[in-house]
Amino acid sequence: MSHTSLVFNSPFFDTLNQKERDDNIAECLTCGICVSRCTWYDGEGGPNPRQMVRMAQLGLDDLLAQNPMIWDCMVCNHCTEACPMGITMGEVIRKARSLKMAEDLIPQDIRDGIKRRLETGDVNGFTKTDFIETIDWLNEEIKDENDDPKALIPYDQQGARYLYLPNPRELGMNVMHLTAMARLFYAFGEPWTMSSRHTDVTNWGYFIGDDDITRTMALQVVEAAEDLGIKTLVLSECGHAFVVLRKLLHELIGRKPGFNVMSIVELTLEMAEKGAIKLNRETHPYPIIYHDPCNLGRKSGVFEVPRRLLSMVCREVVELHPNRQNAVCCGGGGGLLQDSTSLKKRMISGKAKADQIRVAGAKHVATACLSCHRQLTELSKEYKLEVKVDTVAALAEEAL
Amino acid sequence: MENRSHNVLIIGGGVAGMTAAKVLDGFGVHVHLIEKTDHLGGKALDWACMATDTCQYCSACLCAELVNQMKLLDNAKVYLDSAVTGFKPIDSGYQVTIQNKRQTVIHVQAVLIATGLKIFDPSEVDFYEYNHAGVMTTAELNEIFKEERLKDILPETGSPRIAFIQCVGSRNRELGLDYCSQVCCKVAIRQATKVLHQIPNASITFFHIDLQNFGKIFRTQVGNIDHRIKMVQGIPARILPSTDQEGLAVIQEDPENKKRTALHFDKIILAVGMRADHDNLRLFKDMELPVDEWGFLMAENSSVGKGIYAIGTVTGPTDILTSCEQGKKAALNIIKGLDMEPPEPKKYTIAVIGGGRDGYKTAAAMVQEGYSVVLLDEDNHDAPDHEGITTFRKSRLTGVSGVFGDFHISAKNEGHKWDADVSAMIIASGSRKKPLSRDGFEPFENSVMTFSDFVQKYPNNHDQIPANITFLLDHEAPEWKANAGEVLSKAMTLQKQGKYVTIIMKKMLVNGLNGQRKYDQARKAGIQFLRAASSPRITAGKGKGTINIQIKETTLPPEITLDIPCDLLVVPEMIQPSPENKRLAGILGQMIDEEGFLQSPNTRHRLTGSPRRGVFFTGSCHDETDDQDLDLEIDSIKASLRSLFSGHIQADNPATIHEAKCARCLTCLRACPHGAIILRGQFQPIIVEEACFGCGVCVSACPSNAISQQDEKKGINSDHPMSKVVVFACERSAYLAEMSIKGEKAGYKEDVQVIPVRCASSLDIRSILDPFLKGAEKVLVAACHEGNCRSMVGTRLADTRIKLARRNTGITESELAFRTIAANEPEKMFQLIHLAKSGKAG
Ligand code: SF4
Ligand code: SF4
Ligand code: SF4
Ligand code: SF4
Ligand code: SF4
Repeated sequence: MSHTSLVFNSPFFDTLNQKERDDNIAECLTCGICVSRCTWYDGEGGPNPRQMVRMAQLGLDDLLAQNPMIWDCMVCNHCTEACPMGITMGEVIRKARSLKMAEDLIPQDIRDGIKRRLETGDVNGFTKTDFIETIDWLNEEIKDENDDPKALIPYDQQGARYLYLPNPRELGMNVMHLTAMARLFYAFGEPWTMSSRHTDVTNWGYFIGDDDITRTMALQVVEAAEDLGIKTLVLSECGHAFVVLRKLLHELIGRKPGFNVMSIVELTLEMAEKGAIKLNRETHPYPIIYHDPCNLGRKSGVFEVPRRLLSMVCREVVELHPNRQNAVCCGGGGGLLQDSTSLKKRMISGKAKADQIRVAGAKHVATACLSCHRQLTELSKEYKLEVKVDTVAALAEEAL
Repeated sequence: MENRSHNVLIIGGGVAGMTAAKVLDGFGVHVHLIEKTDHLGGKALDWACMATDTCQYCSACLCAELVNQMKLLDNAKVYLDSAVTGFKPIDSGYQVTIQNKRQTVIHVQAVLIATGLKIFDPSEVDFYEYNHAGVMTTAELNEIFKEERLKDILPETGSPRIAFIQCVGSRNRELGLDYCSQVCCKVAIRQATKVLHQIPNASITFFHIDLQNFGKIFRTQVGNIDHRIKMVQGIPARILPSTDQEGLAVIQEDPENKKRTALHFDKIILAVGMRADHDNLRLFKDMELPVDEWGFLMAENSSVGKGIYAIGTVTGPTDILTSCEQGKKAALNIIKGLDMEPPEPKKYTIAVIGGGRDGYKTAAAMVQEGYSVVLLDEDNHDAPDHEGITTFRKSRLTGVSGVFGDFHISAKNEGHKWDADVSAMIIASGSRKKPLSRDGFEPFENSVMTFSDFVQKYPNNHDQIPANITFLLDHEAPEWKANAGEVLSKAMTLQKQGKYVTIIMKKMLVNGLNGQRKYDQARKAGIQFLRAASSPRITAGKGKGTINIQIKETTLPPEITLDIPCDLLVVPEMIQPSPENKRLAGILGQMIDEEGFLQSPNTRHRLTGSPRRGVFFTGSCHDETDDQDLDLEIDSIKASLRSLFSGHIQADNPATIHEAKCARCLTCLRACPHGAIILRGQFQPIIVEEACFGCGVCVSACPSNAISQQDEKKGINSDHPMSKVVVFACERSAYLAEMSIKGEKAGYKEDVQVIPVRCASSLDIRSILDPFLKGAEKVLVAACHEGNCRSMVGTRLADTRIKLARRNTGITESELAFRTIAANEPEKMFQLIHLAKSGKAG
């Protein structure tokens, strides 16, 4: 039994009640629509979206900031997608996580990752030396297969056209993905590079809702890219990075960066459509399910690009139901996947996704986010879905 | 084309347009009624009868009856499958081109738009799984009811699990539909009631935001069902397709266990809202009519332009009865616009019973119409004397005799009596405010005040108003929409003055087209709304605020007790029926409803009428009315009076007493449900033609066979042999239903004779048994549902008589059956006749 007091115009309420319309926490109609839409159900824990919005609305800042729900939330916005007042859960949660009194609950892994990223430029603490060693080693391997020097992974190439910014997993557990991306660039035939100064597409400042940290991390990228004088920054398949670096960047750093931003999926599609590369759809002569990453799809409005690319490299794109705007989160969003203690939770939060995949029937799943990729792989194991999960870009590379 | 007569164009053949056509036709106006489909009736004709054992007062059947009445109009021309394709102002009005197979150009002096609206289509949004066979709208459930197929669509075994989801396509700003559709709560509650009636073990979950629990009889209906269904605040907007035998699922919160769980259902019913019909926007643009951002016509006092009027749902969500009243009101406005002379209003005196807001407003309106008014104020309201109104203050009505056109009322005024002769009576005696019970508020009762006291204590000077004010709605009973509106307005004013305002409620009534917006604006402005999950408790203030209110809040975790620091708790007084109503009803020979308000809920006479011609009800004595409702009611009464005084509402086949045969037993006088029989001299009952409804109740009641009607019991008692099956069908319900049985089923007519009767109770035992003497094997008497009989008592009388006939003769129930039915139940009628033929009538 606990008491809490209704507060008018609490600091939190005020920050969330700035706009003429929409995103005004004050306007929640208590309709309960969001309650029915969160994909975490029939298991322990999980967020209750309306309770979270209401705590914010009623000025119960402490209650919300110290509630584990805000860390269970996958910030996927599925709940408020149908909100009649246009409230966006992502805004509420990110602001709630950023409150001073919310600090204690930040998962240790995320706290550590942010510290490492701020100190070393990489969330895993991967140093410049580590990077160079890894790439050199990879290049050795590449040489064995392809004697064209252009096939090697270039780094720190001034004036290259593209700068590829990888996901840390591509420099660790999943280097195969990086070599695949390198083969794609090789096929594009344009000068590209990586940066030894900055090697990390992720931005966990976004998870904790701290705009300052998010900006600092984004600037690490921007400065490295601008120094190299590249034209286009190409993002690895990563949902939240897409939101930060592609959708919010301008607003976040307060100026237009000196380069374009694209995801590798967008670039590959562009290359394929203008005929710079040829893709063989018979490489994958079976239907493949497409999973919309929330950050790419619902939050950034990119629905068709990955589908178009996928349809060029396999027999048929299978839709999950529902999809696109109403797609269901994989269950690992919002920083949940980045918290190593969350596996048990993620198997609950991802059950809806697992059900969807089972109903869809196909045995292959593609997505355009490496976090989703990992979560989906783990779901397949847990729920015995027996599906193989790939990223769209990796499948495209196979179809070259 | 005849130039001398008045021509009026009505676009839209739904209830609103048809009602207006009927009234205008009575005045001899030439009506051109344009309907775009191939039949009259509009949306209301699609609605099914919601009756269980008794009428549920949905008023849908009125539409079927209206459609039939259209055939009988003298001056109306109906254009089906037609559209208006040209519209041009001319000197004397408008030149209109009507297009159907041919093109017709007509000249009219006035135009009435009643084109109705559309039902929201859930496939516009993609989260309701609307393609799934288990998901349907309330409109589709209606179809199922109409086809008598409910049992076919639900699983045979176990208890079928059904969910109703409210506000689908309403109250949603993101969809551009930020208004409450007003009727869907009523529709869904009645449907749930009907489902439970047909399938008593059905398990129903009702998801809603704020049940719009207001209006006559509806609170009672909700009270009858809410403990039999699971009411859940919060509406799902995601339906999980069924993966297995468990059925469709929606997710619901389980706050106690800090979880959210999937609930499974066999059927999910979406309570779809109303939206403007954008197909008409071009026409409206051509006509230069004001359209609001939702696409509804913005009518001011039913007018949208010079000589152009708009009524019904084209002006916003409206229920059937209100649409009908608007039809009457617009017809009167048109008549006035055409400068048609009223029939010497000064000749007529109208008695208005009741002082207060309702009474004075009504009286003033009647004076404006030119009538003389006698106002009987039971209290001593200090309203100014008004020219043309003779006011008797502190007077109690003690008796009413006579009939329409010639009532005699008597009253007592502090000991001495007075009486008056009046032509018609309007009861506008208002309601009472229940004193606030302060139980549970002590020892802080000084910080609690009623809304009236609050308004009185702080009329303007907001400096004196404390900083933190909390309003408490639904405190001891369901809130009235007027309370909710009042509190919202006050709260907004206070908020603008810098006060901190909290409103505690169980639900918010968002009445009217702009109700939702008002509520949205209040939240946006920073007024805090709390959904009480417990009764508020007051404790001493803890710093901020002199008191502290504690409640549990529905949308917060249950372990949380919310403290609301405040200085003043303001509670609107509950509105309740006046204790005088019962006495008044007795004097008037009228009923009170289950809550104690005047007037029976029977839709045949609502909104404002009664079974006694010339007796009307308005205001909060009979229904929950705000200012807008009251205005409409008064206007509709004005229209009815003008029709009555012009002699348009003619006695429909009146009865007459043959004095030579009359035994003067006065049975008829007691039996007449319409108060149409008076005494001449001391003992001779006579029937006043103007007051008689022609129901025939007296005819069958008279032990001396002294009463007859002009068109005597069509076909009964003829010498012709009768068919194997004879059906006596009430011509206001069963007979209309029979007439609309679809062509392909026509073969059922073989060996069946369907005989229309005025009212089932016009059949005496002899007539009921007569067919058996003439060779019939089965007799079925089909009457209106209980509560829907225009003559109030017909259903019960007929039922009793048939039981008596069976008892006296030994005829079994399978040979002589009695059933109730509504005009909009053709399939049920077909099945009844079919059963009678196949020998299973019982
Ligand atoms: S996890 Fe997604 S659906 Fe659930 S509350 Fe968070 S944003 Fe909403
Ligand atoms: S859907 Fe939007 S308005 Fe409805 S309860 Fe959730 S946040 Fe509030
Ligand atoms: S009898 Fe008429 S008013 Fe009564 S429930 Fe049926 S349709 Fe509605
Ligand atoms: S609240 Fe209004 S819109 Fe919602 S179901 Fe009830 S009547 Fe319809
Ligand atoms: S026919 Fe009906 S209304 Fe007329 S006098 Fe007889 S009982 Fe009364």
